[in-house]
Amino acid sequence: MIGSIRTKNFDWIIFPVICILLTIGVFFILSASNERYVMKQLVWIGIGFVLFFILLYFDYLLFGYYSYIIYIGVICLLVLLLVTGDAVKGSRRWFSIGSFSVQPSEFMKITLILALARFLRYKKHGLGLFDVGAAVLLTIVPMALIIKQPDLGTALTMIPVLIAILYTAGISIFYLGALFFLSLAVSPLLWFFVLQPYQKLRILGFLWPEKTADWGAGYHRLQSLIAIGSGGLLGAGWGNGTQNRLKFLPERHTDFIFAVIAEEWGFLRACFILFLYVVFFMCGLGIAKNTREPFGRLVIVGLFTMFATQAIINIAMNLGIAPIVGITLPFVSYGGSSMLTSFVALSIIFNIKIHSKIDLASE
Amino acid sequence: MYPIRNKSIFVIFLLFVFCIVARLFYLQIMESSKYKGISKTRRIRSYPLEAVRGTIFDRHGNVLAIDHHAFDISVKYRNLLYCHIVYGKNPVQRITELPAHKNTDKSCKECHEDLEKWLDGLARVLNTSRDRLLKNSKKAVKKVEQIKKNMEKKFGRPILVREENGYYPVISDVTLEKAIRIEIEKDIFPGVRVTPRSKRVYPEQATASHVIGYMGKLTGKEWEEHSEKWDNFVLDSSRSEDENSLLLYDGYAKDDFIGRTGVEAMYEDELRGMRGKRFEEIICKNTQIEKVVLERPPVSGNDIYLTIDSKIQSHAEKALGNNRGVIIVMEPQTGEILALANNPRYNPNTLNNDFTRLNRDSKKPLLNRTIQGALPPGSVFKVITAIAAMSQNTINLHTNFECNGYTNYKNIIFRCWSDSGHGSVAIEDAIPFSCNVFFFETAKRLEKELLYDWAKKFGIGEKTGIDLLFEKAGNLPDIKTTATAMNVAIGQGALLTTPLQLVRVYAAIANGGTLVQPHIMSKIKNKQGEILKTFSPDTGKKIDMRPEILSVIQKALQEVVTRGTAKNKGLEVYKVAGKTGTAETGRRDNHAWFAGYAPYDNPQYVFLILVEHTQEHGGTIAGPIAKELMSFLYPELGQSS
Ligand SMILES: [Zn+2]
Repeated sequence: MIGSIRTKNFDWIIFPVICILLTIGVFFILSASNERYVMKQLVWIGIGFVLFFILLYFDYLLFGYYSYIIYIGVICLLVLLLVTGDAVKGSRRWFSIGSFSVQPSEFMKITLILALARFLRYKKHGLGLFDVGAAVLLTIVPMALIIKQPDLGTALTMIPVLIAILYTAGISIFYLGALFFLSLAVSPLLWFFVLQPYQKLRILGFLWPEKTADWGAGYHRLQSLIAIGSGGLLGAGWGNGTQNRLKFLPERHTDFIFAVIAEEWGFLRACFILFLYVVFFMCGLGIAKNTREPFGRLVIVGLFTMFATQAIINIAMNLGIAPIVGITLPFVSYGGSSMLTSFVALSIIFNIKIHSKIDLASE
Repeated sequence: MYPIRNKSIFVIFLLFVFCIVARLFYLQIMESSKYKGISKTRRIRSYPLEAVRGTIFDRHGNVLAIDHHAFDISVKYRNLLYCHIVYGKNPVQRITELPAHKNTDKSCKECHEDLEKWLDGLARVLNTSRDRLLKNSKKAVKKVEQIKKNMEKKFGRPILVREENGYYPVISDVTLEKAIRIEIEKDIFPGVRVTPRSKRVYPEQATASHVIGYMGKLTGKEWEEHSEKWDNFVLDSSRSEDENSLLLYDGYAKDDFIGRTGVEAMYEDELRGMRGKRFEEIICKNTQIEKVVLERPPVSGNDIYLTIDSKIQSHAEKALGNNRGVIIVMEPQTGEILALANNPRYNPNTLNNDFTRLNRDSKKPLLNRTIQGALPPGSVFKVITAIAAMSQNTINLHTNFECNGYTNYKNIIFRCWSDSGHGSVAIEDAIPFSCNVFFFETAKRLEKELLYDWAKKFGIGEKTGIDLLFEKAGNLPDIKTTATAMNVAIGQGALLTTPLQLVRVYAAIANGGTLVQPHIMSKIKNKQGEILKTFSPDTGKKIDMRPEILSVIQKALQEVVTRGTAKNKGLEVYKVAGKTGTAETGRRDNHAWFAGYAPYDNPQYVFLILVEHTQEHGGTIAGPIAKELMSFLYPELGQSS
């Protein structure tokens, strides 16, 4: 099952785009924090690239073959985490293995996509009620476990992923509408039974910033707005952002790195970052279009939706138009677990592109 | 094959991207000047809301240190400048035209009426003259105008500088009643702001000043360290619901005061509280409206209750009189310190003005001698020598040494304080009469390490662990030669102890052999009155002394008062047991000590008196001070005698 990498099928647009994003990220982590974090980030990127090339050697259909087993495995990990995991500042998101900490919720995103894609790959004649129900169930179980951790951000990205996969798999507009209204009906339950008080405050604080006492979120939002707003057209220049340099902006090397970029680089270059993500997404959907094999196509749509959702929510929360939920900017923000997850997802995308061409030739 | 629906997904994605670009455009292009703080019409500004520092109480709830509110009155710059131009004696020059003209123009005066109302209004409420208000604020106006001038010169066009949006003080330290009146009448004269400012007040003046400590301004370097610490804290923390509490800790501001010594420093984190912050959006089109964008209320600091009894403390200070020295009173069972008196003292209320003088004073009034003064203990130390020798059976009750006023060791003469000598002396006389020769002879026979070990057991040479900063450990020298042992045996030589260490030794004798941990804090309460913390001292080390040795020592200490070096000082009625000491300073004067406890049959107080650099002896000068102290602690006993 081990194929060989054909360099001509390697995606020579996405790869440089990712490299540019990574470079920009590293430079702004340096501007926002210090060398220590840059070194750590470089190590994560190094590991990410190694993982990326190793995974390319396996046929992606193997991932599909084992997807249910992986899915059940990661679900078990999530349950185990809730029962035993390290309570870091009151939340249970990490497994500590020596000095390393593993965040299973990050891996859950990819695992879910693989499982959904496998489940929906051969539904050629449209999705029935059972199919839609089962797909929703497949998504809701890990979502609930992750919200309980509590990690609202990661859980939220799963909804667009589910919708995009269902949509590509051929769900009828009727079911899609029904699903939409059903989720509207369910959300009060979520509000009353699942969300933690601080998460509710977050959301209230976003909807009515003046009226809630959630200083933390309000402060984040305001400082981020001041940073972005004072960037102007051309920005203050790299390393010169007052908001960033004066350390007013919390989490500026992780979730709020976009605000640092916008302050120091200005409007035009902030738009350039957005442009890079648009190119990335466009190429991704191009690959999906050219992939005849249904599992691969669904996986690609799912993974790109995951990236797009993360980027959009992250930037929107930097701009003060989405609640602050804790989502990183893919390939730019500082952070090990999210970086590795992004590289694994990227590797699967490249893998599908490389191997799908082979399938096409042999047909 | 199912239909390819990529296009619509991409369209939705682009829609989101479009929204983001639009928002980015709005923030960075349209509203940029508001956030940059250079807009003429809208700005975001933040200012801190001060937290009240916790109060320090004594054990009975008497206030030792408290934050008092003073109020500063400041005026919006536009209004201030207007009055300076119109009414000021030396009109301010400025390049840019100001919307204020000479008051000769009647119609214009009407349109700027609001700008000058504050001047008359404040002068009326505060009972002061307009000139005084203008004079007080002249410096600030000059400074802002200078900044503006420089900026305008640099850019060659009229510029509204950040400073022009601020408020500047016209009068400070206004009383609460007047502040309230201004607050009520604010609508009549707009542009005025009342800012509460807290001021640390020490109602008991110099009493217990070394315990309470004082506060000082943060230095630039310290502030940088604090802010760095906070920043690392922020960078290292992962996302979690903890963000809120993390942000509450907003570090220190540049000109903050911080506890420097004493309880103010030791419990800085508890006392400090957390500063609040308010963000305002200023919209300055026609009317001056301010909209609060975000506010975090300040959190008051916690209150500290001390074990100090301020009555005993102030009487101890009175008993010391003009003598340079120390009085400590402690509960022998618990280690709770009731009084920690020093002389000379300083008044923390006026410390800022006195600091340079006090710091240079050769008598070192800023020094907390009770824990920082390491001196030779003299004869007060002899109890340890006696306990060590008796525990090791080097001497017993019947061991007698002949005192002729001196003894020889390797051709060195070691003198007793009595030139004529004490004759044949056993332990029961050696302590009351403090015969040096007895202890010299004992030291000669004692295994050398033994004295060191026993001194160590009694906590000599190590910090007591009291909850005050900068405690000294003193010096317990290695005892390698017999000559050293002989010097240490009578509390001389290189041996140095702090008064607190000696109090602990006598507390151990009084309480049956437990080395307690002396402490100052008894409990911490928040402003709601809930107890957050109580002091839990170490359970105390039990010193393994044979009870019969302890009772020999206790009896000998009683006899110091009845027939020994402290007789006829009027201490018998209070059932005082103790030991005098007169340590040679190496110069021409002495340190006079008296350490003991009372009443001896059920010790309630252990005390120590030290008078530094005196011509007198332990019994003659510290004895009467002890009497003075006892007469306050047991007034009824004093009357009956
Ligand atoms: Zn003698």
